[in-house]
Amino acid sequence: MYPAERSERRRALAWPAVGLLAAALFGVAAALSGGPVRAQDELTNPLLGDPEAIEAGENLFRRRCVGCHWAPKRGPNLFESEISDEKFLEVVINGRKRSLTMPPFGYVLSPDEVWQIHAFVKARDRL
Amino acid sequence: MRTMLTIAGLASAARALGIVAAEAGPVAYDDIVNGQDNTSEWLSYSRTYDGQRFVPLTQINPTNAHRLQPVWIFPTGGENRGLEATPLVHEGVIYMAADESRVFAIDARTGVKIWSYDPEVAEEAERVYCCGSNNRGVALLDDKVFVGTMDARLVALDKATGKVAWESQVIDWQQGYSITGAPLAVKDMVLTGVAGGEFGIRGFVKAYDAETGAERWTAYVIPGPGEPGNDSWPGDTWEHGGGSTWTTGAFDPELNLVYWNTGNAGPWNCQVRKGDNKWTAGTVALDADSGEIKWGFQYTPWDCWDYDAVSTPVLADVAIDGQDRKVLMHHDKNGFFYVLDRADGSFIYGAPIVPGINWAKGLDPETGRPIVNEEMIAASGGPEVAPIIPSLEGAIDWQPLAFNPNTGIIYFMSNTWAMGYKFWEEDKFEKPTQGEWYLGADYQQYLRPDLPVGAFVAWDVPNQRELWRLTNDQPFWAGALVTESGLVFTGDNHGYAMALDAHTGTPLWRFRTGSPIAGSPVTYELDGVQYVLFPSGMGGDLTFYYTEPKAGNLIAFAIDGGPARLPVGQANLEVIPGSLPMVGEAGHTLGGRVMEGYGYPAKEGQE
Repeated sequence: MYPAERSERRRALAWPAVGLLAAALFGVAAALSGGPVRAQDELTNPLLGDPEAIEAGENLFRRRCVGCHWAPKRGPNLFESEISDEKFLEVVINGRKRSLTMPPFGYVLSPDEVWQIHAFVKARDRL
Repeated sequence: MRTMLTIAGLASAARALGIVAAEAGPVAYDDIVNGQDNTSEWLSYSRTYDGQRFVPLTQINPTNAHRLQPVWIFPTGGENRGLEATPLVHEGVIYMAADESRVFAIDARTGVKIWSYDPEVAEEAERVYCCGSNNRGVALLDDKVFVGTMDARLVALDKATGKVAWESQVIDWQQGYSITGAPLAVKDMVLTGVAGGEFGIRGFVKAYDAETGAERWTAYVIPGPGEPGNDSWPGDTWEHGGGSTWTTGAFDPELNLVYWNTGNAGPWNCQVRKGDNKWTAGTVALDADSGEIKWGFQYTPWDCWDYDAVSTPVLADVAIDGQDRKVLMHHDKNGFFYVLDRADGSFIYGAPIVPGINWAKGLDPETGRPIVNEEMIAASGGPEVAPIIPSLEGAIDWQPLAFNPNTGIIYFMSNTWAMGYKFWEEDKFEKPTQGEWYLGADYQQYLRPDLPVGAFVAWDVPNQRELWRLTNDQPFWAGALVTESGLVFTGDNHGYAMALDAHTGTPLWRFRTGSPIAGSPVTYELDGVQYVLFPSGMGGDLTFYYTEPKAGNLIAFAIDGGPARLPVGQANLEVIPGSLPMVGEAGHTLGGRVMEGYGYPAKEGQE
């Protein structure tokens, strides 16, 4: 429920590797079956619709996301996001450099916490 | 014999300039104290400790300003977050800070890089930036250049080489702290403030021994339990009360007082911290040797609008109502212009600059305390309150003012935009434990249909009236500079670097630099030529409202482009080692397959 302690940073950082490994394995399976990685092969958020996760996710959103993704909105409006669950997880954990930088939150958020935030933004139209 | 001018040769010529810089002398504290007539240098953030940014140069003047042309352009590269800095100049070398807390030493005549420094701030630190990776400049003292970093380090570099002499982790950035302001070198110390008013910090100014990096004193601008003013905070709200000190102070060597302006109170939702919240949104006067708070003045007590008071204060001796006064002048996010007595912090006068200020009905004429309009304070869980004038971007934010002591006129930007504020229910936010956002509120920026959003104002300090105002369809986001010849330099969001007639505000020169001017111009004279430097590059809060165009260039201007020609061939090129060897150069072939007949046969015995 609470942000990862610093001692858990290594675990958090290991998750992108695990996620990519999982995706790679799916990719290998898809390649062996002779096709591209399909959307249904990607990770999906197991906490979607979970009321406890949504409540925890709102708390995390207000503490970690609001200053860039709500007021002011420098990053995309997460309540209108159309990227896949796995892409959401990956971007939040690893960060992304574009016109503005999305910092890597993997140091302070566990993947489950990112799923909570994701569950929250998927459950609502706005903050 | 034909000499081949190799790229390596050009590189060593450029390094030779560094060797010249290495022989440059130290910056003495007395040089800064007595720097008023030093027209070839800009040794401190505001040039002089009084914050006036007034330069006694007259070569560029109202009759020839239209002939200003670029001399050179220096690209700072990087992520192009924008240039909010004031460049410093010492013995023909410019010291410029850029985004990501990077520092450049640049030959002031040619625009050639001498060295650069990158503190390599971790990407993850970005989660404690409210407003982008900004840096407003470096400090110089002795043989060192000082810079604060986005991950809250203070770094001292060797001025000649850019190598780190010492560095100090000022405070744990993971608790929400960054450093975005230029440090201030005072006596044998270097002072820095901190940013993080949106992340539940407790603001302070810290002084370090400039030579060794040893800590000298820390001045918390929010008093702790038992200290005067702590009772203006309910309970333990003082612990995360904000009061960030994210710009640079001014200094009066005679009074021995350092004046530092303080940021918004935290969280934005003021309902959880009812009280004056000293000394946020104000000015503190610190004893320079001990850091003790000698006096404080709040422009916005019980700040309910994110009204950081941070534009660097301007000190001057001015006659007001027939009396000579030692004053401190300040234009605030909250829309008012203030004149205080800088010896004791007493209020002299204040005046509204932004038309239609509505968070306050005026100022108490004796104390300067705002007469607050309670209708413009939001309620927790209540509806949006709008339009609040000015917005949290301010009339002015951190940008420097400029003051001409001969005329008593002060120049500054003063935007008119408004905002809406909506406070969350109080069970929706809690005190941060790991430098998380601590707002408790949403905000929305608005333009006003009745007024152009941008304004640049000239205010007559002794006569207490506005002299002129230059409006713009874009908000201003740049600092000001004034010269003895009667020119005011600033820039706008269209990217125009401009010179204005100081008496009328008429633009006499504009140059389209390609990106908003978000930093501060400086001017100096070298070899009989007066240069004006403009940083050009959108960054900071501008990125909340605009995406393009970005640049990150430092541009030097002079009349008719300055000296007839610059040395040929110096282009700041960084060659990838080993990518361009000579034909047949030892160790750089693909295996001895250089063809004969081209006049450059591979030497025997080499691959």
